[in-house]
Amino acid sequence: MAEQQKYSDIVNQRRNEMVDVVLSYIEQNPTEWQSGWQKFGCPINAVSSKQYRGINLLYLAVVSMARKYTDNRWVTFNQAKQLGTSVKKGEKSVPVLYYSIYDENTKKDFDVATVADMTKEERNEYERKYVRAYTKFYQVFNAEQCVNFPKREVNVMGETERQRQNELVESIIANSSAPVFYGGDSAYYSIHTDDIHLPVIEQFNTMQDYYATALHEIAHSTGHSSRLNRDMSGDFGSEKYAVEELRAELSSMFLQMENGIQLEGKHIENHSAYLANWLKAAKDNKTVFTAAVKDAMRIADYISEHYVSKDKAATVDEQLDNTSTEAEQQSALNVEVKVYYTHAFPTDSLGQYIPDGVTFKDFNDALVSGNLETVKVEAVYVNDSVVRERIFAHLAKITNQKYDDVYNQWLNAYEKSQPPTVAVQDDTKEKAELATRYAILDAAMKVARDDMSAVDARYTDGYSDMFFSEHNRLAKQVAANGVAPSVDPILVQSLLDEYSNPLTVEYYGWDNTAVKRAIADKIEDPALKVQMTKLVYDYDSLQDKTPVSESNPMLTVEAQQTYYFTDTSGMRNQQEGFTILHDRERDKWYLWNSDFIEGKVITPRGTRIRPTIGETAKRSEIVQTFENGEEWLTQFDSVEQAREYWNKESTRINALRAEYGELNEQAIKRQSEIEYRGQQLC
Amino acid sequence: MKQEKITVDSNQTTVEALSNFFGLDPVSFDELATDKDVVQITIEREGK
Repeated sequence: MAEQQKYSDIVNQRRNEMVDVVLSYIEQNPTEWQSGWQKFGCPINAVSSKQYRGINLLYLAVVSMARKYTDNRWVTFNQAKQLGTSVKKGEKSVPVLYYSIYDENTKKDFDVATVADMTKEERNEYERKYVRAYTKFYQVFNAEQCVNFPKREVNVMGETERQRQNELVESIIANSSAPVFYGGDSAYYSIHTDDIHLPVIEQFNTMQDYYATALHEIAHSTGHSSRLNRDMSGDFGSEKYAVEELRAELSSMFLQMENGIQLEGKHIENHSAYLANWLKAAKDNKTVFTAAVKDAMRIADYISEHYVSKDKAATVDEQLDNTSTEAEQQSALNVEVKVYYTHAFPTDSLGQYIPDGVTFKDFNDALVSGNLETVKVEAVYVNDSVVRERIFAHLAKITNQKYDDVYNQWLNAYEKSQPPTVAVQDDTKEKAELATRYAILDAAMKVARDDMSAVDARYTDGYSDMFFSEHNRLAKQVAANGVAPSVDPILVQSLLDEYSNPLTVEYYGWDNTAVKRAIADKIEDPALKVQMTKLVYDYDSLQDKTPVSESNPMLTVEAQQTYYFTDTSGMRNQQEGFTILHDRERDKWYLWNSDFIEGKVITPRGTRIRPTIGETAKRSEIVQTFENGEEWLTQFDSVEQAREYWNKESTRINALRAEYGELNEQAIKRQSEIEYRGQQLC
Repeated sequence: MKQEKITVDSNQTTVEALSNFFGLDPVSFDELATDKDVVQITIEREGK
């Protein structure tokens, strides 16, 4: 009873209220909470101009979004008076909190170095005796709650600002002490090898998407023992894993706020939606959440301090961008595009393919004249939209034009140079099949974007990236053809398999049947919808009973299965071994084998389980892979060649297995796959 | 001065526990006005 009188409960209560406000907002606005602040900027104190930090920053940003404030400035009641303004009648303030740790012995703020050499017992005793913590809540008002608040200067996102932001993020990527490798379908950081893996830049839809993904993975990499040394032991799907995802997302948000970077895009939305699921659980443990906020703040500080290279950007500016006089502008125009690009974006391997000898002046002249053939403009930007955007942004800067003006010059010239954009086909059947393909792909992309927003972005983003170009091309073609989709059941089922398989993520409850049904639900053409509904809601018809034929030619003729792996969640199944598939139509043989790396058998790609004897595989699974690279599915002219290759592979794998000794057998069987996955933070 | 007790993980240092609880780093004691609104925090470690 005495203790209850001695202690107030103000601090716990008010901190919890702040956290609840943040969590509730995230929960109710899972796809908006991270980008909404971009409308007004990082919350600052109007008198000190200092940015709010940690939980205060997050809380004020959320309050601003919820109340739809567009001004990022905040003041206390007295500070409002100090600025010659006053708070409007009836306006309610919100709290921000601060605390300090004071050392009664040294009469200064407590310094951890004071107790660094003490034993745990000595440290506890010292802290008990001398160290005191104090906290205070201040009530603040937004500028929009005040009368005649001084106007603020709004930083408009012009092209110079866009260029500054791009270079700043590029410098972060270039300076990352965890090396960044490009390739593959996924973005992840491996704590095991301390490196970051990103898909090649051209796989991203926009630069903003690429930058957001890179910042997220760099945030993870700060957890390495050589940096901030966080607990990164969480397996995929565990609470520790979710906390690390939360830290990475929050730190990316803090980093963007504090450095004035505005990255928008579906990457952020998808990750936010994923996090929202976990945040519900955080309601019961406020300190887990505030600790993640604190960690995220430290991650952002670490990246700002170690990776943001202001002098690098200045060097590029001085050498290439200084356009303050006409002579200097001329000098910048005479710089070769390749020289500029490879300096400004050293991590982009595409820079090497920009042809030598083409200056910005040559490039600009081609755009102004409208003749893109004079310098083969497409070759200069390597036929890549991200490279093009960067070159245009720089050209706009050094010629003092708006980015949109440069872009429109190019667009006009480009459209003139193209043959009719749509190659209309004569065959009505082919047109109808094309319409079916488009209808199913379009529905599948809607499923990925809308229905699967709670799924980890690695799956849905990868899907959108994979089919983005195809979707756009088909949309134009089908619109020009004006033919209704075919409802041929074999065609429909084949296309449904093709577009549903890469979206199947059983871990998130999206098994193949669920994906197919969601796709069918989004089909707009009435006749096709009827056919698809019949196919996907009749379970028997989902079983692949189609005989081997042109539309389903891949038959497993041989398979060998050594081990079968599964983890406890049932998320991953893995067979070690091989399958030989026969494409009878083309008379080609394909070897679908597992790989053995560092004592672990891994699935080379995706969630598709290697087919066993008697099972079939769609040609699309093979063809798609060949289009993206032949690293894991090898083609042979005869079954004998395939067998010979597999025998060599078996010998190699067995030799490796012998080297890894104890790691084999039961250990591999039970742990390998889940461990491998758990160390990849996406 | 009001006082309040917060409960933290027994293995955490004072600095770690407070930054985790508040979700930010401390400011200098000089920046906190020492008036009636300041609350003194007592840390109680779980398991004690």
